[in-house]
Amino acid sequence: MAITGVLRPGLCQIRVLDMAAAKTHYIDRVGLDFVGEGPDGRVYLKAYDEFDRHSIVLRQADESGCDLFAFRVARPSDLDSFEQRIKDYGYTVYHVEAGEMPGVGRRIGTVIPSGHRIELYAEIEMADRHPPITNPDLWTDEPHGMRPIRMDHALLYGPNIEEVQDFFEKALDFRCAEKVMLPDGLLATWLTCSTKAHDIAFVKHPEPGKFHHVSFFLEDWNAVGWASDIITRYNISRDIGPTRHGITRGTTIYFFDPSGNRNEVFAGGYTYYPTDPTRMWDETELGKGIFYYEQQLNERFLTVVT
Amino acid sequence: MDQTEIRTVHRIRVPGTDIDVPCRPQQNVLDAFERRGLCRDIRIGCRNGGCGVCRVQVLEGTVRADRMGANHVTADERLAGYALACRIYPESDLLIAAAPRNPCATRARTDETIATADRRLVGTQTACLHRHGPACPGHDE
Repeated sequence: MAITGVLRPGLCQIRVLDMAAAKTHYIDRVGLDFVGEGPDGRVYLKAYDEFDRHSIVLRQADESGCDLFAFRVARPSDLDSFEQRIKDYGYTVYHVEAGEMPGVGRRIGTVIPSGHRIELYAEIEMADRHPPITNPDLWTDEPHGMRPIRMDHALLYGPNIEEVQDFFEKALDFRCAEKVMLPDGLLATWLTCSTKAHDIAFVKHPEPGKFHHVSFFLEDWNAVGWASDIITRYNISRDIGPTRHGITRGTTIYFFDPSGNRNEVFAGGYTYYPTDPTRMWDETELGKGIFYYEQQLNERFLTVVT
Repeated sequence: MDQTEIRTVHRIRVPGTDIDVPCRPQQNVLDAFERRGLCRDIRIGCRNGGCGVCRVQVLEGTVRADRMGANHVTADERLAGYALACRIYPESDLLIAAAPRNPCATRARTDETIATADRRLVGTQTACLHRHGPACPGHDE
């Protein structure tokens, strides 16, 4: 099946307590490129291999967390059809005018029952410093910091994730690539709109609207090691890793930004096709599913969110 | 940094325990606990003021504080000595107690969190989280 409709994650707006510290972290350490600062103080960043103007948006606030996660759709007319399908599913749709973020067209959004803002948009300007197109070199400017290739996915925590999964499947045409089933129901779900093992994931949690991590894709396992070296060199608060997930199979390291928002950098992961079955983990092997080498549950990773 | 500051070490104690941790003035309280492996009373989370799991109350002594999430420690709570251990630096010996958010209080805040979630972003209209229907508390349709 060709990829149509919802294409991929595109925007993640993160609340930070200290913008100067956040810029040092995301630009100098993670290695995103600075795109610009808007009139309201929001800071726009991108990874070197992204064509779109920006992917990460930082907003100064008095508490940490994630304001919104947005997906790019293929065509402007898709916004109209998805608006109808979201309404038909029973959710309210809100509208964001073009230009609310510099270079981004109109967006539609809804607040899903896990308490998160999920938005769709079709149009965004191409970055000034975009990847080469004609006789393309690997990059325009050599990658720096952890050398992230793209903003890849987010993991969000909140209640009602069975309904959230159903909404993503029925209203937005996502598929569930992998899930964790416990005796009392769905604990976690990894949802994809592409051939990636996940484009967004949810874990059941009593408090709505919580943010577990935003993830950046790296080239390979060596790059995960390089990122780990940077984390130790600059005393970045490390959560866990380098290690590997059983779920999605990504090789990974987790750490926290200066406002306590968790970041992941990872490489690998399987290719998911729409004809593939949903892989499933149960309570007997969940430790291996979450961290394949440690094989045991990690309370901080499972419960600490912003 | 002058020699006086390098040599200064404050003691952090937790009532009801024999915990007595050294902490330098430029070292945050959580780091002092984490380095000694004395984390039973104060959980290690993000270490950066965002997640709130290291919430404590300073019972005696004075501290210098960095920015911390207002969702975890309100202005009133700050005056009552509450803080995130990862964001405070001792200016004297301290007596502190772990003060995690009451889970019931977290649940009570849930509706408020939902109601304010959609007002956080500039330039967007109000949205309703809930499915349309009579069972939805506070729904105005």
